[in-house]
Amino acid sequence: MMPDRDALVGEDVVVWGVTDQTPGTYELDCGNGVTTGVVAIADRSYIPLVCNYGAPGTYTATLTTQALGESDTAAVSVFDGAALTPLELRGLQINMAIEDGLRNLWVTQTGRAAGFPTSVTTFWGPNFQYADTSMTVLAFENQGYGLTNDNVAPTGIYEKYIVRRGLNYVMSTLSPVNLGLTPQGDDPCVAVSDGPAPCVGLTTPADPGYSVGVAMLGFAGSGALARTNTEVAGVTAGMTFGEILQRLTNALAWGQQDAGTVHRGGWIYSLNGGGFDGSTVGWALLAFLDAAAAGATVPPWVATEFQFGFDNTLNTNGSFDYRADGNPAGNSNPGPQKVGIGLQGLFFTGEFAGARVTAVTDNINSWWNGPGGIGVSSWTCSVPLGPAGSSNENKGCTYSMFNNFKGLKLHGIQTLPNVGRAAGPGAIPANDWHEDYKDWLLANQNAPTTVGGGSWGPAMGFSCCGGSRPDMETAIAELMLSPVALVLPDPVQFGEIGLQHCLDGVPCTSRTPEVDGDPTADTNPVGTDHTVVARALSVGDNPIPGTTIDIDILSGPNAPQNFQGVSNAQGEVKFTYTSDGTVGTDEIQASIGNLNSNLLTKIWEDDAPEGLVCDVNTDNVVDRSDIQAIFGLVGTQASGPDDPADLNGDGLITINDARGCVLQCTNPRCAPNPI
Amino acid sequence: MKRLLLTAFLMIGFASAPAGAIMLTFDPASPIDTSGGGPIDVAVGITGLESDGFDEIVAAFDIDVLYDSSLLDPTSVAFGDPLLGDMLDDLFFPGFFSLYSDDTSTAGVWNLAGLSFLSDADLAFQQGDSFVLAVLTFDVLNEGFAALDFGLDLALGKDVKGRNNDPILPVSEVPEPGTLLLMGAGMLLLGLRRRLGLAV
Repeated sequence: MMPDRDALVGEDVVVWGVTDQTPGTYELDCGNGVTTGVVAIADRSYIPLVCNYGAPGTYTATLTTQALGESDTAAVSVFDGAALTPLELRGLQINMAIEDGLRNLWVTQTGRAAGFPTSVTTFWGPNFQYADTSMTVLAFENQGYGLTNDNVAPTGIYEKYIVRRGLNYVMSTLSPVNLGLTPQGDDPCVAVSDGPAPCVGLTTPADPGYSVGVAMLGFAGSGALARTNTEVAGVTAGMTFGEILQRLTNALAWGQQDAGTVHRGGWIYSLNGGGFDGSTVGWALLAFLDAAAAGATVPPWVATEFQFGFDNTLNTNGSFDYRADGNPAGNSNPGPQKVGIGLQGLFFTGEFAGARVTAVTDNINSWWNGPGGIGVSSWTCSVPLGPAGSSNENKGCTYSMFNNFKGLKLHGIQTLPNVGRAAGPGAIPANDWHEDYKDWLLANQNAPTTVGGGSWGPAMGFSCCGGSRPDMETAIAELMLSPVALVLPDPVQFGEIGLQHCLDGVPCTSRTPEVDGDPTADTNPVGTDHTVVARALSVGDNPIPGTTIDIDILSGPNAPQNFQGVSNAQGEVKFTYTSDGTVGTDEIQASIGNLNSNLLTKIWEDDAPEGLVCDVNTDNVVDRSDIQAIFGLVGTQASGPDDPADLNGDGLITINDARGCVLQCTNPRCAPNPI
Repeated sequence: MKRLLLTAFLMIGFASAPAGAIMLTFDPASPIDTSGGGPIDVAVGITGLESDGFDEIVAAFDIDVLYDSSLLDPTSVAFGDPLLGDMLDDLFFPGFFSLYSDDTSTAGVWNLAGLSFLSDADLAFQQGDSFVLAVLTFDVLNEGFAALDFGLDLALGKDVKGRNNDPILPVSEVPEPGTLLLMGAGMLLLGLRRRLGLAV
């Protein structure tokens, strides 16, 4: 059966399943008494039924085949939209859009019916199938459908038939390419057994300048670099996914343009093809960032070389040339479709802030609502302009949106002034660009309640060229609805130690040491600040930037609170909050989409450590001499977190501390101890 | 001593303050006419501690008095109520249980701070609804109408502390008729009557 899914009361929803039997008969039951009846199996790779539930609850959809009496089930969680908060309803609608989009990608597998269930491969697209397939696999992976990091056979329908078979297809198309030192003398043969140069890399059948990069994505997103190819023949037979990813990485590094000055450091359609192509390098950047996040080694000279051509392509006004021209005031066929690549390049070269980041951000902002932005728009994007808000410059143009999405997420930029979106629901700020994209995607998904619907193809154009590519448009829409710009963090690690306390006196840059044997609990005086840090890390502890992480105080005196941030280059999001002064225990958890971290407990106690509070002269008694000293300090900064005069720990000595200490006096009226 | 205090209050007379929230007050009220020359005394008071169901005290305070420095020049401060005494100190053994400070280093801002060593219960016993915290003396620099206001900032701890060291809220300055002392004494009388079970 399909994965478990969500639904709304009174709205059509598609449930579906598959069977390996044919011919024969089946019956599909919505779980509310509505069934197909017993009917003949026509297409065993997709057996759908439109259901409609009249009341909230969890329903069990069941597919039964009569010949062998086999059946399988999936849970349908049905919610009453009127009973949900606006934020909950929005989250549910996004989940449903994701579920229907992934179902559409299942339906649009090329040769789906003929290849099910026996074929060990599957693919999408009439052309460049290895690229389309890798991108589509990444869409499933980033929505949580990955493989285990071993050779255990997957069992979930998407894991078994999409991710596994899609990666098999990509592997089956790869071929070896001999790599040597580059003309600059750089060695691309890193982290492979036959390195240093010469060594063997891996490449794709056509246009490897960009398609090698796209082919890398599915392996980087697999979270399963220790898994071995045991199913398809060819050069990758017996290789681990990690080795495949590394050899693709090395080939792409080797294929970086070396000669000349203007185009040095770029990529074009073929490896070492002699040019810096502004649109091609976007895929290379994404591939290297994904690969590094997953744990592959990107030769360090790649970014250094890239800087040459990048500086010749990024213009002063923030636009990004189609071909590097060495003129920051020139227009070499730039356009809003590629502007986001500029932000990705700045991130890749370690430029996280400054005038160029601002210029590119301003440029993206200027095109947000269509024509008339900064610079020129030399491209169209084959966008059907019917849907409201669509334009060839931004919404509806898959290439624009994905580049903007990646670039803005990597730089942690949440709002743009031209977005014009009101705040909410919940804590969503005004002008949140990602939520604006989600609005558009929710409004423009094609017929998601029908058995053949769920794609974004009809409403979107892919790029300047090549016509409509509904599978890629749908896959990229799914990627933009995911919480990550690169790859999903390791769910096991995030679930066990994804959220940690920042402890007083310990740099919050490493794993939290255990406190009394318990790393999940920490204690502070009430009224003070506390910081927690969530980390998005891959299996190999590599940081994953661009990951949207929510941190919630679920219960306790300071609940409820929600904070949302995007992970930085270290993969971290930090959240600091101040105790409201109430004794108790907060429960805190982080989440990345539907992936939840471990729970932390924060214990707020009334008393600071004994011997510190108010006893400023350290004579082990709090009396008028202490109070007089504290009163004299009112209006000054505390000397540090353990300043005995700073009773509430807020860093400032105030009348609040002075009177509070009177109430802490050892004797009535703060009298000293008798001598 | 309590009898003596009661006698003094009765001699002052009774005046009831309007019902409402706890408030800081100036007497005379802002703005102050400086045309008559100086020095000018301004009483900073608090009222409403027992109004509308309150049973509050003043245990400490840290407040800024904002004044027009083109018209007024601060010269001296006398903490405590000139009639009732220092209400943060022990009225029966005065001189030991309160601390005060003031700061005029910033033109236009007169910071006043006070702190009691007494317990909340002791303060509640002797404080009534209204009393004077301090009397400020200004020299007059120029003729005109000098505005006065209070500068309070909870985030910076500039407020008035009541029971359990909680800030007394809301705190706002309102103009006060020139009968502050009489009203304060009257309300204090009511408070004492309730606490001591005395008929008045």
